[in-house]
Amino acid sequence: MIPECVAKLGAACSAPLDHAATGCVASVTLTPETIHDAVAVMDKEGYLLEDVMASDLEEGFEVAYHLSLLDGANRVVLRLTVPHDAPRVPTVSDIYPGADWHERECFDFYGIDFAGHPNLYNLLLPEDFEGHPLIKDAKARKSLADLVPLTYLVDCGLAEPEPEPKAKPKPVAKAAPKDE
Amino acid sequence: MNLEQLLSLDYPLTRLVIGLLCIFAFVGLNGLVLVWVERKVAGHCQLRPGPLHVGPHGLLQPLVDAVKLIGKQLVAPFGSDKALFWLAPLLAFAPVTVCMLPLPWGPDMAMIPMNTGLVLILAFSGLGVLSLILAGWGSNNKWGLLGAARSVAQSVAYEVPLLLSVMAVAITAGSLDLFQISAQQGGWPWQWYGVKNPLAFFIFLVCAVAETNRAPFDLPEAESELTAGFHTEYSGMGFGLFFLAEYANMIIVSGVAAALFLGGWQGPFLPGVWWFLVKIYCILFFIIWLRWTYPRVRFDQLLNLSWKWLTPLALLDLALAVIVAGFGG
Amino acid sequence: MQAFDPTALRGDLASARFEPGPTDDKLILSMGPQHPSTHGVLRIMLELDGEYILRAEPVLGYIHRMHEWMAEQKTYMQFMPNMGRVDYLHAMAWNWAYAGAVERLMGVEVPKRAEYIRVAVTELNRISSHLLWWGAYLLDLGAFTPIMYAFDDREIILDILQAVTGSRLTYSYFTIGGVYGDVPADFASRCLAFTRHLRSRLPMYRDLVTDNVILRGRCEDIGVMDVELARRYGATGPCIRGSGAPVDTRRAEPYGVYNRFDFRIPAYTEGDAMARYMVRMDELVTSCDIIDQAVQGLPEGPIQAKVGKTVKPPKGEACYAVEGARGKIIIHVRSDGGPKPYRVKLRAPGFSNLSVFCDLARGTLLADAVSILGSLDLVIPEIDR
Repeated sequence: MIPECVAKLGAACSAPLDHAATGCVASVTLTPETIHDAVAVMDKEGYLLEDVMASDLEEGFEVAYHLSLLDGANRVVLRLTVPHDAPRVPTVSDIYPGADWHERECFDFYGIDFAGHPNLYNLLLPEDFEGHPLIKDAKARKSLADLVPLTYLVDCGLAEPEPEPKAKPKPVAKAAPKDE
Repeated sequence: MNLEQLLSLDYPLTRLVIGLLCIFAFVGLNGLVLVWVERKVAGHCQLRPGPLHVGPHGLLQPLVDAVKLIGKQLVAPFGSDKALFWLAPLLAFAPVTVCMLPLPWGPDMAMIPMNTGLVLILAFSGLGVLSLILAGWGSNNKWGLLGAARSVAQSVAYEVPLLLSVMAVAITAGSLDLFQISAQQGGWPWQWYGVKNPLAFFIFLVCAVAETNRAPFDLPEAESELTAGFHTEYSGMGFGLFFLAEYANMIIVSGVAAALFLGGWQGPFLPGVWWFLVKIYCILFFIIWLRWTYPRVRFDQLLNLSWKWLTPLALLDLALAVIVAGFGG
Repeated sequence: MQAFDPTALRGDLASARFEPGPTDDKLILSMGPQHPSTHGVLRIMLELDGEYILRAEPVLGYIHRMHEWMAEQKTYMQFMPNMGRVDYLHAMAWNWAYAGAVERLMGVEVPKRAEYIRVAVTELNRISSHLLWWGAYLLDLGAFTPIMYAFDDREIILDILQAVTGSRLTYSYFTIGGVYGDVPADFASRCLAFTRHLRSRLPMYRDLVTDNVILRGRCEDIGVMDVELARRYGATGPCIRGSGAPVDTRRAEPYGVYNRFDFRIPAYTEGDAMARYMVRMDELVTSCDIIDQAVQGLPEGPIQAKVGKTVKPPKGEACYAVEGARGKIIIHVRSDGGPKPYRVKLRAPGFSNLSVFCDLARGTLLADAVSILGSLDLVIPEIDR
């Protein structure tokens, strides 16, 4: 079930997730233009920003904001993708001061430029470190469709519906006897 | 003046030289013993045996520590004021020797008999803080500087109630001579000024702990806040002298407390000097016990305690002592 | 001798950002990374006016090891030992978060016996973490003795966990789908004996330490953090529970078999260092309760699900939240179907808890900053990762 406030985020698309299978209840796809307002809405709803996670995909850098209410299993993921050559995302550290360090960490590891961030310089890496360690080679990058065959991709028209209705089969559990 | 006269103990200069030699020997030896006592008490407070392997029950451990300290290189930090930096530990130790002179070890065991011994001790104990300022300033270290600043405020704050509590006893006894004050008390606890005037005794003890920079009032060196405060930069015997001076100061305050409040050398059965030592060591044990029991107070709490509580209480106590002395004659 | 030239001492970026202004008579102080009460390798830049803190900023990265990069280079199982090194004080919770995330991705169901063992060892580990925090915090406040008592109690836990896991500090006991080995036969009796022992010690700790007037003076009304501040900074665990919100991942999103146990979540409304202290002291009892229930109800059965020799989760992503001793631990795992994770993100509670420090320390005394820092219960390797 998607929390009601997600409707107010102006999202390009949002999809429910199975908490038992993914740990989140909703995935919301946003753009760099809409993220700041969306996070402000979540702040008003009383959500806590758990972390900001970036990852390197074929499409660009994906930045995911994980938010949850103080109590209950209701983690919502706000995602957006920025191109590799212009990784610019507006900062949300003016809304959540705790995002300050999370964004600096993303800057450290991926070189994502958080526009408007008050002190965007190295946090965990040494100041003379060159490059960004978690950026993958172009060869090693995978597309989002290769990584998350989740229903929200189908809902967003990013992927074809898979023949199996369930995104998460249990192939390994079945394959286990073969290994032994 | 012939040689015989010069070697006689009645000659002041000879007496002074011998007295100073005794003091150095006593302070050095006692420093070693106190290090052992401190570590043993700490150990037993903390569910562990403390030093155990060097000598019987680790008795020789302080000797080994001393050898280690002496053997270490003396390092002065870059940009420090060398003269002040090395003057400080010596200056920390100098007043100790003077303050030891008038202590009444026994009925006839004074290094130099003088009728204003108390004034001498109070005057010279104020010198100790100077060494802490020099150490903090001279070592060109911000932690040291903070420690020095703390030590000044602390020493000023606690000298006032200390002085007042001592005055109360001096007025009751009608003397500034530690021998006379001791002699006026008896050998039994109910004859002691510490029992007759417990408030002054309590104030004196608290101030004594603060004046010697011992926990819970060890703010100038507060190692969890200021790394080591004023002696952050000292190595080897530079640190060793501060260490020794701290223990010597503890002996002095304990000696004064024993003389003023616990009847000095007086007590049944044993000769005077033993009673005096027993009383000194009881107070020392108490001070050490405090250190391993309590957390450290904060700086503003420390000053509040002195200015808002101890000083008014000490004034009240002094007034009471004056009234009682006036009526009692 | 070379004359002293202050400009010759070049600072780094962190200290350069703290340069005093032209008219300032402020003291810029670099506290750490070798300061006794920054617990290892944290560095804090302070701007002081006398002893009052005008500005404080932690400088991180002195023990940064890039665990997230290592995760991408190793197979799923090879990464498990790293979890013991992220937070060395509550390694079990990190073990659990990682194992849980991968299990969630693979849809593995963990056998009941393994779940109970996981609960018991994680709670034992939580007690050992809280005890060490307690001793170290009092050490920060200048009380030397309690840490020895804490270590005395902690030693019993380490002995129990050594018998179970083979290691004493950096455990990697969990495996995908269960735990590595079964517990020894006397595990339950030793755990029960320990919880009995700890419960008998707690009144003494309360009388000797918690109710001490100096300790109260150092902790009460120091570093007051309300729920709103904690939420905005993402502070979790005892920090937010000390601010009046009884929030606990064990109750909010029950993982493992926590929903089978009856336990109280302590919360205090004051929000100061003392409230955080009291929460942790109460959590010792909570953990004892859970351990009692877990070892008494320990079911028989297998301790590992069948997952095969090579762990290859299907493509997808999953996250798993665990209540660690310092707060909410979350591990996100993203798989491309290969033998190595595509991306692993570790959410360390201490990271967010420490970021509140800048706010809490402003306007306090240097000694209070030490008290606040201690009350946040920092484990730097977890923050730097």
